[in-house]
Amino acid sequence: MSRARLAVALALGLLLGVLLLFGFAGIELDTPLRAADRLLVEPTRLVSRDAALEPDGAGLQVVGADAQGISLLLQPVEPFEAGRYRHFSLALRDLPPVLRALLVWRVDGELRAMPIPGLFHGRATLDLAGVDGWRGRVDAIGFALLPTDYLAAEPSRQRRFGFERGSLATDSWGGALHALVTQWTAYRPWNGRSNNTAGFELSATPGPSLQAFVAGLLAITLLLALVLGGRRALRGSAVVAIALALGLLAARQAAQLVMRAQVASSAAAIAADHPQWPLAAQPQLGHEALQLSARLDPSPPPRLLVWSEDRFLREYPTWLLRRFNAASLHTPAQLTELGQALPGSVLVLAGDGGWEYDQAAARLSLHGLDLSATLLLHGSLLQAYRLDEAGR
Amino acid sequence: MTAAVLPGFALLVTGLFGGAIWLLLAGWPRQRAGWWLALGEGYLLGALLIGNLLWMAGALTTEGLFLRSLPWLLAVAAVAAGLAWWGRQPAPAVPDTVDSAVTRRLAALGLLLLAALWLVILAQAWALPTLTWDAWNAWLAKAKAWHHAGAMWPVVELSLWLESAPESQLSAVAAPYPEALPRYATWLASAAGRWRDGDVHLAWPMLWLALGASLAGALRLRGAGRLAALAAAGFLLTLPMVTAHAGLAGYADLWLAAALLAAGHHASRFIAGERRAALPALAFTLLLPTIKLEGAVWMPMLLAGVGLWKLPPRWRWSALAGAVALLLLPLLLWRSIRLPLPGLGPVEFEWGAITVPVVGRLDLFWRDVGGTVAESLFLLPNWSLLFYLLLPVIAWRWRRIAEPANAMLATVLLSGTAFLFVLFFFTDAARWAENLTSLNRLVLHLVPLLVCWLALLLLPARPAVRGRWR
Repeated sequence: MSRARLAVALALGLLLGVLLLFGFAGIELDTPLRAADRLLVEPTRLVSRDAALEPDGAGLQVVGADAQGISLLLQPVEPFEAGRYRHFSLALRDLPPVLRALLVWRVDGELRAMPIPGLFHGRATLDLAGVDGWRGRVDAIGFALLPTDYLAAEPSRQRRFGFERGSLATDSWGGALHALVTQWTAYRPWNGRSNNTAGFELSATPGPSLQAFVAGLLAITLLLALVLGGRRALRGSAVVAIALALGLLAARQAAQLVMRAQVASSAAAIAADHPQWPLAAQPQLGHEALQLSARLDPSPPPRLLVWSEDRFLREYPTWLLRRFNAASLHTPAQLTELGQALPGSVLVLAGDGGWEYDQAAARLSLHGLDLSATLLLHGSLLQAYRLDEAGR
Repeated sequence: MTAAVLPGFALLVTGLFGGAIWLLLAGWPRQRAGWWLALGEGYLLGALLIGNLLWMAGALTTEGLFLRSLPWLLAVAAVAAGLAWWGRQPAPAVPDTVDSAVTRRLAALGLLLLAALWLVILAQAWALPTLTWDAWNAWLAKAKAWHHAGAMWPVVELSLWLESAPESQLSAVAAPYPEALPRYATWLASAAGRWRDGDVHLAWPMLWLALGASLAGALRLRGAGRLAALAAAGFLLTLPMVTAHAGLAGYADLWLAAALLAAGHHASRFIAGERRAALPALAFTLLLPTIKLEGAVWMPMLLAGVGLWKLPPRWRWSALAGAVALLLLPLLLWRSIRLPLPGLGPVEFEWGAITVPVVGRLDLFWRDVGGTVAESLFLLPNWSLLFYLLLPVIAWRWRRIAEPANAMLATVLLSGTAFLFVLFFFTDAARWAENLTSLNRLVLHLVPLLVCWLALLLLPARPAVRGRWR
C-alpha cells in the first residue's frame, strides 16, 4: 500500500472509529452548542444518619455504617427536574474493595437508587439517560456504600473511606465518553446469573456492547484494508487486527477476574475474623443456619425438612444445613407428607410467613396441618421446630 | 500440612492416575506436545474415572476414603505408566514444529500470563463459598451430604426418603443426575478431612488449566506452532463463560465441554488415520453421559459422526440416507419411534413431540427466541468475538472442511447445533433461552470443540504423516 493510500486509510479509519464511538456513547453532535450546567455534591452539605463524617481537606472521611451495612450520604438540594442532568460523577478514595456503591436520589419523599459502576478504582461517571426512576422532581442527591452481596452487613460495618467530589452535569461529549469508558472497564461483580450469562452485573438492562464495538472497529479496519490495499493488504492486516481485537477483550476479562479475586479475598479475610458471619449467597441465611446448626446434635444427624413459598429460600438453606440429613419440600402438596416425618425431625421454615406458632401450646399451624412442635430457632429469615411424637 | 496442601495433593494424585491411564490408552508421547495432552486430558480422565469407580462402588464410607484409595490408585497408575513405557515407539522421523526465537519468547510470555490468570481464578475458587444455584442445589449437594453422613448413601426423591429408615438414604432435588462429579468431590473432601467449599472448588481451576493444556496439545500435535496453539488456548480460556465456570466452581458444564473436546479431537485423529487415537476417543466418549445428562446426547452424535466418516466415501451418503430413512420410516408408518439412549432411557419420537423419561413430553412447535439467542451470542459479553469470526473463517477456509478429519468434527458440531436449535426454538426449553439460563451453558458444551475445529481450519495444510500425531 502506498503512503498516500495508507494516510487515507488511517484518516478514514479514525473518522469512522470516532463516529462508531459516538454512536455507542449515545452522543448527539450538537451537544457542545447547548448551555452546560453542573450541580455539585458538597462535602459541607452532605448528611448521614449512621455514618460519622469528618472533614478531610476539601473532602470528607466517612466512618461506619448502619445495621444493614449501609453508609448513606444525602445532600438536600433545590428541587429540579431529573431530566435536566444526564451524568453523575463521583470520586472516592481508600474505598475497601468489598464495598459497592449506589447513586441515591429522593423524589416525592421516596428514595430511589441505582448501582454506580466503576468505583473499584475510585472514579466513575454514570449515564442517567433512560435510567428507570430518574424522573420527577429531585430534592436530595447522594450515594450509599454497602457490602458486596455475599458478605454480611455486620462484619463490614467498620469502614473508613474518603469522599473527594461528586456532581450532576448536563449532557456533554466528555461526560458521555467517560460514562462509556466507566461502563466498559467497571468492576462487574459475580452475581446469581454469572454461570448462565454475563452482562447483567450492573443493571437489569445491559449497557452498550464492547464486543459489538470491537467487532465494528475490526470490520472497518479490514474493509479499509481490502478497499484501499486489495487482498494482499487484507491478508497482512487481518491477523494483526484480529489478534489485537481478541487480545483487548481477553485483557478486559483478565482485569475483571483480578478485581473479582481481590473482592473475594478481601471478603474472605473479613469473614474469617467473624466466624458467625460466613460468606454465603444470602449472608443472613448463612448466619442463621450456623445458629441452628449449633443448636442441633449432629450425631446421629437429625432429619431436617425445609419449606418456604420461595424456591431459593427452601433450597439454599438445605445446602447450608447439609451436615444434617436435610431435604427441601418441592411443592405445598408435599406438606401433607410431613405426617410421615419421624418424631425428632426438624422442620425449617424460611421466609416471611404462611404459618403460626403457639408457643404456650407448642403447636405449629401450617397449610391446614396442626403439628406438635418445639421452637428451636426464631431468626429473621429462618424458623426451626422439632416435630414431636404427636406431630406425626 | 496446611489445609490447602491436602486437597492439592489429591489433585496431583488425580493427575498422576489419569495421566498414567491416558498414557496407556493413547501411547507414550513421541513429541513434547503429547505431554501437554497427557497433562491436561490426564487430569480430566483421572477425575472422571475416580468419580465413576466410586459410583460403581455404591454406598462406601467416606471416612478416610482418600487414604484408603491412594495405594490402589498409585499402584494402577504405576502399572499403567509402566505398560505404556514398555510399549513406547521410537520418535517420529518428522521433526517437531520449529519456532523462531521471537515466537518462542512470545509463547513463553503468553504462558506466564495464563499462569498468572490461573492463580487469580484459583484464588477466587478457594476464597468463595459455593454461590451459584446448580452448584449447591445439584452438583455439590450430594457430595456435601455424603461427606457429612459418613457414607455414600443412595440419594432419592423426597417421598422415598420420608419412607426410608433414618441413616440409610439422603434426598436432593437433583437425585437422578449422574454421580461421577459429586463422588469425585466427596473424594476430594475426604482428602482434606473436612468439608470446606473452597477445598472442593479447587477441581474447577484445575479443569480450566487442563482444558487449555488439552487444546494447546491437540493443536500442537496437528502441526500448530507454539504461539498459535497457545493463542487458541488463551482465547478459549479467557472467554467470559469459561472463566465464570472455572472461578464460580460447582457446575458440570465445563467438565462436559472438556470431555467433548478430548473425545472429538481424538476421534478426528482416528479419522485421519491414527488408529491408536480410537482408544482415548472411545474412553472420553463413553464418559460423557456420566458427567451430565446432555452427555447422553453428545455421545451418539460423536459416534455417528465417526461412523459416517470412517465409511468408504462411496457408501457414506447412501449410509446416511439409509439411517435417515430408518428413523423416518417408523415415524411415517406408526407415527412414533422409541430409541434407547444411554443415560436418558427410552426416548420416544413422534410427529410434533419427543418424550424423554427424565424430562417428560416436549411438544414441538416454533418459538420466537431468535432475538435473545442473537443477543446472547453477539452482544452480551459471553463469547468475545467467537461467533463473529465463525462464518468468516468458514467462508475463508471452506476447502479445508472437506478433509475427513475436519469434516467429521463439522458433522458433530453441525448436529450439535441442530440439536440446540430444535431444543431452544421448538420445545419448552425456549424459556431457558428467553430467560438466559441454560442457553449459554449448552452452547459452552460445544465451544472448546468449536474453537479447536476453527483453529484446525486455520492451520496451514500439511500432509498427514502416519504415526506422527501422538
